[in-house]
Amino acid sequence: MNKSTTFLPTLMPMLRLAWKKAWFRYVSFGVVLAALPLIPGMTSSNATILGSVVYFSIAALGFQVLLGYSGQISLGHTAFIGVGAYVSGYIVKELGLPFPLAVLAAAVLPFILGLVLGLIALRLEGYYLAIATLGLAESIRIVFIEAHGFTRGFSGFFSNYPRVLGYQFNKGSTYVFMVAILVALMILVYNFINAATGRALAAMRSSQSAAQAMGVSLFKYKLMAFAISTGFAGIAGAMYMHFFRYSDPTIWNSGLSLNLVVACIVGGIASIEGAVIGAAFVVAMPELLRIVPGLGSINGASFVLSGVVIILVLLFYPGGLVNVASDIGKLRSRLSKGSKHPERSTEYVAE
Amino acid sequence: MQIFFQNVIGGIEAGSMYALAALGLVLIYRTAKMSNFAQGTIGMFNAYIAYFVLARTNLPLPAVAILSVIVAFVVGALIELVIMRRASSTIPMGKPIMTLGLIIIFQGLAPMIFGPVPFQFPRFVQKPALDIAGVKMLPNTLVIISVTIILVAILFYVLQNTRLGLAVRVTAANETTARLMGVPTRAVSLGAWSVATALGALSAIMVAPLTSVTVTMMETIHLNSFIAAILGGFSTFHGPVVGAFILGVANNIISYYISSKWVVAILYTCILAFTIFKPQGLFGKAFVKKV
Amino acid sequence: MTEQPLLKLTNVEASYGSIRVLKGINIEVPRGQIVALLGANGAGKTTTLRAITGLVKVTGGSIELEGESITRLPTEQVISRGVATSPEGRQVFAELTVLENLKIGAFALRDRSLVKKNLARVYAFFPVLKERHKQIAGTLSGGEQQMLSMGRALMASPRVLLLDEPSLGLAPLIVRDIFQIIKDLNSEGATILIVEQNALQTLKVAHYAYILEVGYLILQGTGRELLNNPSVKAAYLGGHIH
Ligand SMILES: Nc1ncnc2c1ncn2[C@@H]1O[C@H](COP(=O)(O)OP(=O)(O)O)[C@@H](O)[C@H]1O
Ligand SMILES: [Mg+2]
Repeated sequence: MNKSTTFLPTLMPMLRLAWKKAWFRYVSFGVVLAALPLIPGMTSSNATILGSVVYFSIAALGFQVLLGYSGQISLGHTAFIGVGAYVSGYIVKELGLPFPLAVLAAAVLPFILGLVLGLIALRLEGYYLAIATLGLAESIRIVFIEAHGFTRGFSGFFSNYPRVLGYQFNKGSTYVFMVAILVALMILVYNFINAATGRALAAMRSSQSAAQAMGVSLFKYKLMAFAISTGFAGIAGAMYMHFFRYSDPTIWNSGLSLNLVVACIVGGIASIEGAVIGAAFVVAMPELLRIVPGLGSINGASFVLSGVVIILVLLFYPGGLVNVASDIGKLRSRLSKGSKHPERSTEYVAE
Repeated sequence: MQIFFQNVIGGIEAGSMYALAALGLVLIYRTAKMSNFAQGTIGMFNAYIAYFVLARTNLPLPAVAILSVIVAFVVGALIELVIMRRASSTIPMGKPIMTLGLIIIFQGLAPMIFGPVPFQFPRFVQKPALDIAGVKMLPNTLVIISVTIILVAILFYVLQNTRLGLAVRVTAANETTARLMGVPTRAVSLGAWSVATALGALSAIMVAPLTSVTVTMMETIHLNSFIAAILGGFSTFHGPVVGAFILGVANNIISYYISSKWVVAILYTCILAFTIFKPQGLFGKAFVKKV
Repeated sequence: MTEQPLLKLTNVEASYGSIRVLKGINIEVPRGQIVALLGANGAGKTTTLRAITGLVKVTGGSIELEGESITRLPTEQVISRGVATSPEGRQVFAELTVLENLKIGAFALRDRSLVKKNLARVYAFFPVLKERHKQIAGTLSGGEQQMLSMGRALMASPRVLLLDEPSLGLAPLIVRDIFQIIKDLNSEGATILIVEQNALQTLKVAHYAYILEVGYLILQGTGRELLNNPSVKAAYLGGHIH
């Protein structure tokens, strides 16, 4: 008997128990994600793609609270990400204030914007929020272009990696920092949706009429969900600004807003993990397609494909990619039950 | 004063395009109970097709315009039959999200198929501007405004005075009860999808000569048609049309007299503020059911 | 009964999602009669009517109209074969005029002269609808809306008329009028399946009645039989007998 055989049996049940705790799963996931750039052979451009996935996951996570849990659509979320980016950049670069303060402001300002817009648009029925956000995004886009003193317009706004308490981040450590923020927000959202608020939102999504009876509070929850989503978008923007160290108005286009919808639906509606999986799908697919011969040279192929995928998912697999693993598991167990070879079960007994 | 009228006429011209598009939106919204976010994008795609048909054949412009409206009519029906009808058991909001998927597809396809270069689309009437008491007006503008008014009049006549129109209105009012009256409500939403998509395409063909044919050519029109519908109220068919003309004229006036840079922001803020006081829109009414 | 019933439900089952609401219902509606379906709130009365008109999926059993199966036919086709409904809560089209409401009732009819004839007949039955034909339906009183809802159903020259709680929410005097109208309609030959919670009034006009309790029929008999049945008296007529 060597050490590991006595060690593992005691560790496994502990791990299994801990795995049931959401925070443990999210932290483990974060550790793996943070370690990915260390894989030998990882190029700098791949590390950049990972950074994209993480920043976009933060925005998608907030969007999931809106779309997945309150059943509302925004078509202009990219504007809130942009606001977060410019505000954080401006505070650090122009005002010389500390980075944490910039992140805070990048969250709070869009949060307040979300509250104000939500107060007006969420009172209206139907898809008013979608249109109101689209209109706001259009207005904000003009601010990005025209408010030169604040955004530098089309010349672009340049910034640096974060500096906190004298410590200067580099690309790698900024990435780890973003992962930490993502994990913290995942835990936050998990607690939010498992608190009374989230349960009310879930009820609201599954039965509008039952929720209608809840009257005023319904509005409050919708508003909360919307403001959270805009706040997260702002944080995502701050991360973008300090990882990519650049922003210009063309980045914050309407296609990016649509990609948030794609991420939530394709990843898995009303699922925290789904938001991250969806974000990875949106960011990574163009890169993966680039490898495919023939397709790679076609501009926008990935965009078209994600449009097709979102429709197919909604028609045939509305739970999204997050269910793939468990569905394959189910399929396999059904297949093995169906086949009359009880080998698997005997294996377990033998163990 | 001449400048003022000049702006008003320009506003009515723009309003015509918003009006056709807004009518399309409200038709689908009321009968199929969903928002079609892809209407503008599909219109854009149609304008590209129209441009290429025009460039490669000898067909006259009006024939091409009619052809492309017919194509859009069929495309609308296909979207309803192939996608929307099968989506009855998808997640809440699933159907409007699918139209976002359509936006992504058509916006991606357009530059792939037609290339990134904007195309110049000819006017319906090439003749030089008329001078009416100092106010200049292109004959093309006159064509756009008249075609819109005639079409809107026909549509409203059908809605208000025919059996078909009655079927549309009752489907809009209460789908279940409409079915109980023997109205084939699925056929009604199929028709609404077709007509709406055709209206969106027509709107795109009208705007094409004024801007040019690009992937983003319909973005403003599409957004403004939605906002016009909010302004006029989604609960009637005429509200969005009136809202469209108000929006078009207001846009021009603000742009000229206040600021051309900030006109969009000013206008949208005003309309958002307006909805605080009148959430149902100008003509929207909330009927109180008697027990 | 030797003659074939006009409408016949055999072991009809229906569910909303996974909830079984009808668990095997047998009802016969003979030509020219008023048949009542009674039961408490939530028993499945409305669902039975929705099953007939194809608004809810029938998961078992069969529904026949004059011997022809209409089980699982699309709603439009059931309607065009002569089934008309005055739905629960009247459901008049509030934004439309009285006349437009009546016209839509005849949507399934192609024959214009028949529509005209039916309109005259409905106006004769409900003079108030003629007076108010230009009025917006949403502004009618509750009783008038019920008349409009019934008149609208009659516009289709139905072979069988389904009435879902016509007395719901109406003042007692108006309720009496409505039941008188139902009786008059029947004496002019209309076949009626009426769903009600007002058991006393209904049993007085009904030739035959069924009592439904959470998805099952628990009792049936002629109106008179049920009126005198002690358990019916206790459960359904208690508060109404003066
Ligand atoms: N659309 C629906 N979805 C789910 N359950 C329903 C629906 N409509 C009715 N039910 C349920 O079916 C049962 C029977 O309802 P219903 O037929 O309307 O009863 P009744 O008309 O006798 O009052 C009730 O328990 C009700 O809650
Ligand atoms: Mg009922």
